[in-house]
Amino acid sequence: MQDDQQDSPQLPAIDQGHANDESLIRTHARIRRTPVAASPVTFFTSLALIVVFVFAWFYVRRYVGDMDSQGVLSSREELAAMQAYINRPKEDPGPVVVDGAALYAQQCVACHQATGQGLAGAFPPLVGSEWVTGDPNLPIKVLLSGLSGEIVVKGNTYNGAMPAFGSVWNDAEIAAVVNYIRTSWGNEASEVAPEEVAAIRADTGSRSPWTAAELSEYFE
Amino acid sequence: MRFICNLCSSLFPSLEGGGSQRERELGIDASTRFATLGTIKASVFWLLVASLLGLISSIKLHSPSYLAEFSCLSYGKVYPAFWNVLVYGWLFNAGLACVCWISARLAGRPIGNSYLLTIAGGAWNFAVIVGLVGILVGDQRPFRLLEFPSYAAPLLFVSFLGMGIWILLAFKARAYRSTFVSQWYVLAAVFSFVWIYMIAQVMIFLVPAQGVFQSVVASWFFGNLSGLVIAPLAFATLYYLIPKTLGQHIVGYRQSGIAFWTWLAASSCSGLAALVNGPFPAWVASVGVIASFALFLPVSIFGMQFVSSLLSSFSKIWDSLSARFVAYSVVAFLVASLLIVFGSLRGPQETLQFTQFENGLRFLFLAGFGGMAFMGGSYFILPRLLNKELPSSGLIDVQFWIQGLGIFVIAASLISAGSAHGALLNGSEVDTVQALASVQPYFFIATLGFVFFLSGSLMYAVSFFWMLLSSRSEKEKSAELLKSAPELEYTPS
Repeated sequence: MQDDQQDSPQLPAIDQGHANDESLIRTHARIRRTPVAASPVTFFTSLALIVVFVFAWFYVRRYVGDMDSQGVLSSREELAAMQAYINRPKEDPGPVVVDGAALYAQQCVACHQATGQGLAGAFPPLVGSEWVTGDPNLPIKVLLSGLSGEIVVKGNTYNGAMPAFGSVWNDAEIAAVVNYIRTSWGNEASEVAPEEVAAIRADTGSRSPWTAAELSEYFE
Repeated sequence: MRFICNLCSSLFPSLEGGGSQRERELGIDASTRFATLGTIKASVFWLLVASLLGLISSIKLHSPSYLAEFSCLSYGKVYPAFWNVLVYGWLFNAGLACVCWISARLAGRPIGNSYLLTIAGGAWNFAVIVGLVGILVGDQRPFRLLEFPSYAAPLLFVSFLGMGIWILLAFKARAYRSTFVSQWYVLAAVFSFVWIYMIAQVMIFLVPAQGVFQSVVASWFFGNLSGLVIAPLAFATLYYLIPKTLGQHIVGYRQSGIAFWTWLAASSCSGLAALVNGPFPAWVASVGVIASFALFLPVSIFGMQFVSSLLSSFSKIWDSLSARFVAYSVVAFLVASLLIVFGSLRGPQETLQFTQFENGLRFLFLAGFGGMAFMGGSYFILPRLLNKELPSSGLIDVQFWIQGLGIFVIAASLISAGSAHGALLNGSEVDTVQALASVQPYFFIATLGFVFFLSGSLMYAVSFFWMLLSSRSEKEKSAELLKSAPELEYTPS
C-alpha cells in the first residue's frame, strides 16, 4: 500500500483497463466450464439454500393462514382463536319475542292512527271497539283474512276495506299485534297465544275478506 | 423477434472493424458515443433536480412552512416528484447509459442503429419532463413510482421499448458465442421493466382491478422496479467493472447462474411483504415475506463474489476512481439487502411499517447501490467515449467521499428515525405530537445529508461538464491515451 502511494501520489486521471473485453468473456466462460470439486463459495451457497428452505418451511406452517383467501388472519394461533370463538358454547336464546307495537307502527298507524282512534268517517277506532275487545277470535280472523263492506263500530257506520295480513305475518306476529291492540290505549282485554292463531288459520284457510254479516255471530 | 432483429440488421448493417483489439474498441466506442453521452448528460441533469427536490422535501419534514407559499411545491407533490425523478430521471438514464455501453463492448463489434438509442433516450427524457410537470401541477396518480400522469406513461413505455430493442439488437449482434453475466442482467432488466410497467398500467389504470387487488399490484410493481430493473442494471455494471478496473476475475463465478435465477425469483415477489397486516389474504403477504427472506440466498452469493473479488485486489481499489464507487456500491447493496430481509419479517414490521424506515432503506438501495455503481461506471466510460482525461481526480475524490457520506447520513438518519418513531407510537402512553417532535432531530440530520448529497451531485456535474467543455490537450489527441488492456489472468486452483 505504501509503495503504491509513493509510486502514484495522486489518483490517476484515467482508469486504465486491466482486462480486455474478449478475455473477460472467455476467461469467465472457462471458469464456468471448469468443474470444481468444492469451494468455500459452494459450501456457503448450500448453507444459505438450507437456511432459506428451513425458514420457508416453518414460516409457511406458522403464517400462511391455511391458504384461505377469505381470512386476513395470518398465524395459526389467531385462526384457532377465531374458530374457538365461533364454536363457543352458546346460551339458549329463549323464545323469540315479537314486538307488537313495532308491527302496529309499521302497518296499522296509517289508518287507525298511533292513538288507535282511527279517522272519523273513514277508518274505525280500535279504542273501546267491540270488534277488538270482545271475543279474541274476532280480531284474529279479521287480521288473517281482512274485512270489507259496511260495519258498525261504537254506533258509527264505516264502509272501507281492511287488508288481510295472513300471508304477511306469521302466527306469532299476528298474536303480538292482536295483544297490542287489545291491551293498549285503555283497552283491557285478554291476551291470545300464537297457538290460537294457528288453530284459526288452519280452520279458515285461505279465503276472501270477511263481511260483517259473516261475523254477526260475535255480536249476539 | 428473430425476424425483427434480422430485418433491422439487414437494413442497417454494422461493419466489422478489423485490426487490433484497441482499434476495435475505438470503433465500438465511436458507434455509441452520441447516444451514450446524451443519456449521461440527462442523468447528470436529473441527478441535480432529484438532489434539489430531495433537499426540499427533507426540509419540509421538519419545517413545514418552508416554501409553503408555492402550491406546486407542497410536500405531497415534492415527495413523489423527488422519488420519480430519482428513479426515472437519474437511475434509468445513468443505468441505461452504462449498460448500453457495456452491451456494445461485450458484443465485441460496433452495434450501429445508435439513432434509435438517441431518439428513444430523448423521448424518455421528454416523458420524464412531462411527468414531473404533471406531478407538480397536480395530475399525479396515487401509487408509488406510478405517480406520472396518464399522458406521460405511454411515452415513457414506448421510449423504453426503443432502448430495449437496441439492447436486444446489441445482444443479437455479439461476436462471441459465450455470454458474460452482465449481459444476462441487462436482458433481465429490459424484459422485466416492459412486463411490470405494462401490467401495472393495465391492472391499475386502464382496466382497474377490483378493490384491494390494486394495492397488491402496486406493491408488486414497486418491489420489482427496484429489485428487477434498477438492481439488475447495477449488477451488470458491477460485474463488468470489477474485472475491468482491478484485473481480477469474479471469485466464485460458477455460482452466478444460481444467484441470477434465485434473485429474479425471490425479488419478483418480495415487494408483497409490504402488505403485512393489511386487509389481504394472509398468504399473499406471507409469500412476500418468504420471498424477501429467500433474497438471503442470492445476496450471500453476490456478497461472496463481490467482496472476495474486491478483497483479493484491495490495494488497487483506492488507486482507481471507478473501483471505489464499486466498493461503496457493494457495501451499500449488502447492508440494504440484509435490512430488506430483516425489515420484511412480521415482528420488525410491527415497529417499522409506515415510518421513515422504508424511505431510508429505499434510498440506500437505489442511490447507494444503484446510483454509486452507475457513477463509477460513468467515470470509467467517459474517458473512453471522449478520449479525454478526467479533469480533476482530486475533485472526484472529494465528490466520492461527500456523496458517500450524504447517502450514508440520509439512510442512517431516516432508518433510525423510523425505528424510534415506530417504537414511540407502539408505546400507547406517548402523545402523538410528542412522538413526532422527538424524531425531529433525525430529520434535521437527514437534511444535512441531503446538503452533502446535493454538493456531491454539483461536483459530479462540474467534473462532467468541465471534461466535456475543456479543450483537448496534446496527450488527449492521441489514441494512445488509453492503453490496450491486457488479458484477464486466471489460474485454476
